[in-house]
Amino acid sequence: MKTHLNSSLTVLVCLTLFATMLVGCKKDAEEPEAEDTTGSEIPEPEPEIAVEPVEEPCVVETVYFAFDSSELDSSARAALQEAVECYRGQQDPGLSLLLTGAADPRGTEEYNIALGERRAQAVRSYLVSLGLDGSSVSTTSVGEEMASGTDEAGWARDRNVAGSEN
Amino acid sequence: MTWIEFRHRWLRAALVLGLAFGPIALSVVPANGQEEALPLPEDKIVVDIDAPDEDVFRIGVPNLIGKSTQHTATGGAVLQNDFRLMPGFRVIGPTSVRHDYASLGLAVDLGAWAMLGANGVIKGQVFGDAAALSVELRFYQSSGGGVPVLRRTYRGPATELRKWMHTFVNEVIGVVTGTYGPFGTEIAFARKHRPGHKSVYAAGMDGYGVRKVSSGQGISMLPTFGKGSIWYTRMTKQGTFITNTRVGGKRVIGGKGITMAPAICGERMYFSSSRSGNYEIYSASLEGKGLRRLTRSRGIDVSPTCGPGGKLAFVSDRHGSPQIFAMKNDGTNVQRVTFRGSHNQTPVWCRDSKQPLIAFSGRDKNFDIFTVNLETQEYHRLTQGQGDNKDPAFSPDCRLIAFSSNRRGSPGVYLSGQDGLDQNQVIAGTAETVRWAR
Repeated sequence: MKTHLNSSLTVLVCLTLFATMLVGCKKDAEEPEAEDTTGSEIPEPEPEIAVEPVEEPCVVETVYFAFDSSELDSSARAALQEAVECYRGQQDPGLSLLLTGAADPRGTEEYNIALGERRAQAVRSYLVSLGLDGSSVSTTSVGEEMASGTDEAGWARDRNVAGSEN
Repeated sequence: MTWIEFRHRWLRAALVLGLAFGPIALSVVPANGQEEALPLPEDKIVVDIDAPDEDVFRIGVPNLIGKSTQHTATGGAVLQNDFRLMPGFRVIGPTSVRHDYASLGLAVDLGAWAMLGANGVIKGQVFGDAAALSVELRFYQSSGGGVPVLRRTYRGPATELRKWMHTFVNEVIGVVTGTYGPFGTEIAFARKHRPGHKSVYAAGMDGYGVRKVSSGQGISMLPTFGKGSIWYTRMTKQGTFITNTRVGGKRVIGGKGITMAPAICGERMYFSSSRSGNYEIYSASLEGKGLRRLTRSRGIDVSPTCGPGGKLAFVSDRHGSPQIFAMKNDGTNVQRVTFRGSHNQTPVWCRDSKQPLIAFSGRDKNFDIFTVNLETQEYHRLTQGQGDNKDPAFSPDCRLIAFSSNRRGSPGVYLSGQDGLDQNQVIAGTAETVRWAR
């Protein structure tokens, strides 16, 4: 009989201990995780990662033309030389350039589209002559469709070639 | 001799004396190889103020008679406006008539009209209502003894009223001049709203019923008529291509580079494209198939337009500056047409084989409208000193030339006679690239 009682007590103690363990585990699971309050804490120093220097993207400045002309003047050539030197300095230019020519509104629509493209081709030819890969430079024209000039100064701004990523 | 033949003989004599061009195949090529063309002619039309006033046909056009004042007023206004726009005619309108023209019904008191200088009179009467309208029209000539030389009755809904009036005017013009008139035909043009935004519109040649016909946002331009549709060019981020109203702005033909400015001549379209790297003239079927390259020059070749007998006119700067050229529609027999001025563009060919004329935009200080006779090389200037005037379009009978003008205070689409006289604005507001339905 005593032996039986002892056995029962032993089982009860074990069950109690097991139940306590279970409750304890559940309580732990329900506790909200402590918020990451780093404001007053000193962050651990991040491991140093080797970051490659970010290259500034090269920009082909917009160049401007004389009336009914597709010839590059000295300032246009200088701006294009600067762009080519920038591309040369890049390890991987990933060049895909679209040159869009434009005209002032004082012409006929069809001829101005062709004139705009002729200007873009003049810029492309110059860039290629300076060593840029011609296969990655394309041309198009908006003719006088984007022109907004109403006087000589405005018309001078309308006659341009602008570069953009293709 | 009709009235108009008389007028043209007199005017031609005055113009030839005033312009004094002579044959003009006279481009000068100096030692540096740069061409130096003779300048375009000044506007030197001589008007003899002592000449008899018999060069115009003075036509009395009172308002129509009838109970429906809306329809009588509209009908009369259309008749009066058509004759106002037609070279060689002068309207004696209702305000000039002092006697009670309505009391005579469709008859006419020619004596009373003769006192006003009328060479002819139109009388008309409207019956019925908007759903079932009937209009009777009579045309009397002063020499006709009170018997109408033309009488027509039109029946139908009131929506047809303007068309009936145009038809009758055309018949009257046919009686007076020997050639049916151009009224009731349509013109198309482009209008720039702001940079990067342009649409194509159509309207009656008298400017009535202006409506947008192009689809989509952005840039739609360079319209032309062909096969029951209005064709135009769309400039989009996906490319610049040719479309028409039938396909709702979708691409009919595009491809590498820019494809633009179609002319529909018979069963093929002719257009300019940079697909070769340079702007050349191509042709294709109206479905955009069967591409053929017609020009092979180092210069810019643009603006093809249909001519008579399977010919085309176009613009090329292959000799240094843009000039008008002509060729057969297979690209052979290329000939230079203009030899005066340094910037001649946007040609349009008169389709009447009896009138070998090409009209074009020529730049002096500004753009102005000129015609050149292909046989005599006579040049006529139609505009001068009123801003830029460009993009001419011949009416089907070539007696009228429509063009766009940015003249100060009154930009728009204008109509003019071949001599530059009788210029009238028919559409107000910014307009470009006018084309006339054939």
